[in-house]
Amino acid sequence: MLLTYLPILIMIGVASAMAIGALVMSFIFQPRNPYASKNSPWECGMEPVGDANEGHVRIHFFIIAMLFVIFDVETLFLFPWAVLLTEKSLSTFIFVEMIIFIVVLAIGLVYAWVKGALEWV
Amino acid sequence: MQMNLHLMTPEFVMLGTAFLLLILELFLYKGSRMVTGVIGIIGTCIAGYTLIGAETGKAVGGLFLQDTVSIFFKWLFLVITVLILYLVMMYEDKIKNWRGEFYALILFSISGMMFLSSITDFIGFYVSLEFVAVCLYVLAAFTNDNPLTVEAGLKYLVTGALASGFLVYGISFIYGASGATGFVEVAHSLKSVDGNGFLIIGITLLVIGLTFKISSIPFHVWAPDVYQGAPTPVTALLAAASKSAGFIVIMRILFTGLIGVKAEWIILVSIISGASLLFGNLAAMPQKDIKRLIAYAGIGSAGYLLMAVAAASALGAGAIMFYLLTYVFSILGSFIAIVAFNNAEGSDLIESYAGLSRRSPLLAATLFIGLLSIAGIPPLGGFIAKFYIIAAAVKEGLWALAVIGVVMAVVAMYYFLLVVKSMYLRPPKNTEPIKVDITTRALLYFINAVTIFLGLYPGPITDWVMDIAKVLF
Repeated sequence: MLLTYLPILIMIGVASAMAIGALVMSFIFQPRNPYASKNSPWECGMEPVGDANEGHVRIHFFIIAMLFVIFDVETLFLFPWAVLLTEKSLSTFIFVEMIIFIVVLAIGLVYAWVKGALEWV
Repeated sequence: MQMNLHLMTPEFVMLGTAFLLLILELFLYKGSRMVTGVIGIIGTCIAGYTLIGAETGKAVGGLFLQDTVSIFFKWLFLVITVLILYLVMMYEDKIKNWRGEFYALILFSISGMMFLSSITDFIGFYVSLEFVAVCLYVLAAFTNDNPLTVEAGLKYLVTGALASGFLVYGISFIYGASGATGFVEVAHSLKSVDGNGFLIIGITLLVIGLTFKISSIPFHVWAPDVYQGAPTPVTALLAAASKSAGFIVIMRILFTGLIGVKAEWIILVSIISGASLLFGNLAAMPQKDIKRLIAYAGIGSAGYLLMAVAAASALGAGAIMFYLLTYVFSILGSFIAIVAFNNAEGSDLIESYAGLSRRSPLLAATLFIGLLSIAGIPPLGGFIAKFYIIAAAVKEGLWALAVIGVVMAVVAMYYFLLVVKSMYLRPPKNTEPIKVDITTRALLYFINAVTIFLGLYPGPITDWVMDIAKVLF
C-alpha cells in the first residue's frame, strides 16, 4: 500500500538533492571578492543611511502594509481578468463578478478610512 | 459551467445587509445604534422572503447545492438570526465599548452558515467553515474589557485553530485516498477503492475536527468557558446556529460523501457520542452558572445528535433535523429569558434565580419550558426529538448508545429541575417584580407556543422532516 507513495518520496529526495547541490556547488566554485559597497545592504538603489537597528518603525505601519497587500492582490486579479474580458461568452458574468469584488474591497477601504487606519499620527 | 447564481439570492441578501450595516455604523450617530439592529432584522426578513418557494438545483458548476434539506436549514438560520439580533438589541447597553460591527459580524457568520448548508465540496466546506469561525472568534472576544471574555476568546481561537488543522489534514488524506474533493465524487470513487489505511486516518481526523463546531468530545473544552465568558447573544449564536451548521455539514459529509465506508466511521461516532453524553450530562450537575450549565447540557445534546448520526439512516437524519428545530426554539427562548433577567439583576448564577416565579411568571415559565424541553420531558418538543433519535439508534441496533441516552435523559432532568426548583420553590431575596417589555413578552409567548406545539402535535412536522431527509442519501 505504502509503495504507491514511493514516487513522492523519490521526488522529495531529488528536489532536496537539487537544492542542496546548487548551494554546495556554488559554495565550492564561487570566486570570493568582497569589498565595502558589495557588502552594504541594497535598498532600491539608495545609499543606506545609518544602521538598520536604529530607526523604530511604528506598529501602525503594519496596518498600512496589510492594506497595501489587499489592494496589491486586487490588482493582481485584475490583470488576468482584463485579458479574459474580450471573450464574448464570459464577458458579462466576469464583469459583474469583478465589480462585486471591487465593491467589497472598496467597502473595506471606506471602513478602514473612516476608522482612521490611514492617518499617520 | 452552469452558474445559476439566482439560487444564492438569500445568501447575497444576507451578505449585502451585513455590508450595509458595516458602512452604516460608520456614519450613524452613537445614540442611534438600535437602527442597525432593526435594519439587520429587515434584511433577514427580505432574505426569508427570497427563500419562499426557492427552487432547488445546483449553482456555480455544482459547488453549491440547493435542496430541500439546505432550504430547511436556511429557514432555521434565518429564524435564529432574527431572534439573536433581537437579543443583541436587548443586550447592547451591557457592552461598554460598543462597536456596530457586532450586528454585521453576526450576519456575516450566519451567511457563512447558510453557505455551509449548501456545500457539496471539501474545499468550499473548509472556506465557508473558516468564514464562520473567524467571525465567531471576534464575536466571542467582543467585550474585551472583561477578563473572562478575553480568556473565552483566546480559548476559542486556539482550540478552533487546532480543530481546523485536524480538518484540513483529514481532508487531504481523504483526497489522497479518493482523488476527489466533491462529496458525490468521493462517494463514487470510494466504491472502487476498499477502505485503506489512509482513508481511515482521513476519516478519523475529519470527524475529530468536526467535533469542534458541535462542541462534543474531544473538542469540548472551550464550550463552558466560552459560553460563560462571551456576551450572551454570542453564546446563543454558538449554542443554536453554530451547532446546527456543524450538524448539516456532518450529515452532508458522512451521509452523502462517506456513506459507502460507513463501517469505518460508525464506531468512531458512536464512541464520541457515548462519551459526550456521559461527560456533558454528569459534568452539568455541579454547575452554579446557568450559561455554564447550558454549555455542559449542550455537550450532552451533541451526544444525542451524534447518536442519530451513528444510526446513518434517513430516520436518523430526520431526527437530527427535528431535534435541532426544537433545540433552537427552546434554547433561544431560554437565552432571551436569561438576558432579560440579567438586565434586571446583573447575575447569571442559578441561586440568584430564586423566587423568579413570583417576580416574573413569564420569564420563569419560559425557562421552565425551554430547559425541560432540552431535558426531554413530554409534552414538550424536546421529548419527541429525543424519542425519534433513540428510535433511530435502536432501529440500527445501537443498543448500548440508546441505553446511555435514556439514562442520561433522566440525569438531564435532575440538573434542569434544580434550576426549576430554585425558580419556583425558593423564596426570592429581592421581591421587586422584573419588568419585561411588550415585544419581548410577545416573542416569549410565541416561542413557548412553538415548543409546546412541537410536542403536542409533531405529526405533520416530523413527516415533512423525515421526507426531506431522504435527499441526503
